[in-house]
Amino acid sequence: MTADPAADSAYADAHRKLQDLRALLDRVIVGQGELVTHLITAVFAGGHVLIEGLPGLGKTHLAKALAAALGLHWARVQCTPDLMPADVTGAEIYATAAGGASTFEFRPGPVFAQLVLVDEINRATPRTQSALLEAMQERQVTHAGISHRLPSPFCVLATQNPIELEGTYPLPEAQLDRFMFKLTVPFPARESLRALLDVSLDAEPADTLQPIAHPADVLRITELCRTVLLGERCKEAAVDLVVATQPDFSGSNSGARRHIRYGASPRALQAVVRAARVGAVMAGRSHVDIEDLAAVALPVLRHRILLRLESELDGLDADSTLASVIDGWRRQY
Amino acid sequence: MADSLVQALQTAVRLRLWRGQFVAAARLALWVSAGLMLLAVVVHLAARPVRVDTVLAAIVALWTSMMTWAGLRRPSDSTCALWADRHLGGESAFSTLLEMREGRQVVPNAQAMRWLENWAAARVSYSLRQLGGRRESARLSRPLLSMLACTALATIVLMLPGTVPSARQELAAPSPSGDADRPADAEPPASTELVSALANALRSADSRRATERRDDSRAPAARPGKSDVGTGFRMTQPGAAPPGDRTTLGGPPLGTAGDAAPTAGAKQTSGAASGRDAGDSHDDRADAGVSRVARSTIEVQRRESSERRPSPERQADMDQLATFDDDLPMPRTATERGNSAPAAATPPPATAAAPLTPTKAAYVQAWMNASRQRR
Repeated sequence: MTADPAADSAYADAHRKLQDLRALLDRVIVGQGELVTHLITAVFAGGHVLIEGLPGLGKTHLAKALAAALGLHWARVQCTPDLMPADVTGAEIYATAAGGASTFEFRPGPVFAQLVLVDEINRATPRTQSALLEAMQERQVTHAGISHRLPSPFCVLATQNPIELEGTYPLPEAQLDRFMFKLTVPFPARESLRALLDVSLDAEPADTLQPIAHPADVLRITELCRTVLLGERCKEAAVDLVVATQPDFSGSNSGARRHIRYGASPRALQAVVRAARVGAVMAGRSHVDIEDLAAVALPVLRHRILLRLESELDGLDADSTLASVIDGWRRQY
Repeated sequence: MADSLVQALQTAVRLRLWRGQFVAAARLALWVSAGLMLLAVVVHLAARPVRVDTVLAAIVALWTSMMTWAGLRRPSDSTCALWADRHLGGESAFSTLLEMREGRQVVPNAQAMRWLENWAAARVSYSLRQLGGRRESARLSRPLLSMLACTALATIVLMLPGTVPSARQELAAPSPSGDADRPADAEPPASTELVSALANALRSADSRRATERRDDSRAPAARPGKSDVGTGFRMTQPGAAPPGDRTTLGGPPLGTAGDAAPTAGAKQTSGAASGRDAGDSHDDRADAGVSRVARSTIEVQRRESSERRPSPERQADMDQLATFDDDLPMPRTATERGNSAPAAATPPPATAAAPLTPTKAAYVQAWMNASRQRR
């Protein structure tokens, strides 16, 4: 239920825009409703997303559709082992001006787009990954002593393949922490596959998608989400959620103590609250609820914990471990 | 408008929570009341009598304190708001709104606050419907049944007479193990009656057998084969036979310390030798050959028969007078009491009850003790 007594309110407008965006992407990305919602949440929360899924599940298609729907300038970087940092961030080239004067001119790389799709990021070398991730964190690129601001809004969608890991460079934990969400792309249901044939058999729907918002709208909604009210109960709940993943903390979950080697960082706490605020606006509220926190807990936390080796050998993964942790945390509130 | 709606919801939730506190207090009071009654029953039965009004006063005090406790714990606004958020679909709106209004947080955006107020006001009607449709069991049936059961038990135990420990001790019967140590004067009525009956039976049997004995001793020649059973045993039973009226057929008395009592062999010998009683009893027929030994060998035969006496009980003969050897050590209790009365065989059933003198009562008591020890 949503109240709409002040239809001209910014919250109402933001709520309407987000609902429209979700509906549009749901029509294009068939059968991936949760993925679409999380992606929208991350974009409007100012975060970056790491998408993991098998080839052919529509990761690139999703990025293109999102950029088209929001009217964002987007770029794609296909990562390979020989990709250099300058190929991502940009480089200085020697150029001659019209008057005959020659100078070095900075040529921006693909990272200077508003929405950057970094495909198979784990195939790039650590050096290139570091350059990219520094840009993600600082939102600027420094070259030859000169800082170049990245455009705003700025969002990186990085993908990686969970199979064929030979010759790859898995992202270190410190760099994984830069991503607000890690989303997994599930295989679509049978009905979704059937609907896919009707939607995208002969044409790429993202190519013909008309934008329903503009980058300014994205910035406005992002700013609006920062004003969402957060009650004491929700603050306590968010803190307890992160604490529950800590194996050496007194308030941690028993499953966490048994299976988790390293828990979530304080940055995860910030990410949870920021994402929950977007979820509240998406639900038509100007205040955060526990449900908003619970909805984003798994994508925020799954790449921020490290399991014990024994638990991994027992077949446990981060999702199953976190599911029990979140379930126990949810019962407290 | 929004404030009044939210306040109405707060009030409704507060009443609901307050009622829940009273129900919880009543539930606890029911359990504790049942426990108090059980405790009263246990104390009443085991330690000391408990008055009903004491138990009632304790229960009244308990209920008063519990209800007062529940009444004083008025649910706060934050509690009501939090409860509405969690159970009435408030989605944290009511608690957040309350925090913002109380100034516990800085409102970052007035627009957000207005939106929250409108949202909460629009949510109130839904929450009130949820509250109205919420049916929670009071869970009073089990404590109520337990209290009723305990009340019935306590009523029965505390109201019925004779359930206090002192009354039970008065009515309690003495244990058999304490009879030997208890003096004759302290005998309970049932034991006294038994002793009297036994004594009467003994008296009647003694007098009857003494008469028969006198008749036998007056005509010894007429029965040359009469048993010499009495030759080895002096008759010590008063009234049964006079001291000079012994039935000795020859030779010195054969009774020794080894002949503890009239043996079955001796009795059977006398019965068989006399020829009159031979075959009259089962024991005579069973050991008839022994009774036909020569007189000079009677002593040896008696000792042999005494030695192979299987058990003292076989000495008893319902048809014979009891014969005792003076040298035979009497049972300790009897000798200590200085009673020289001979032990009797199993007495016939008592026919009348008459009070005994203390001496006779002591005798009967000694007899009973001796019989018990032999068994």
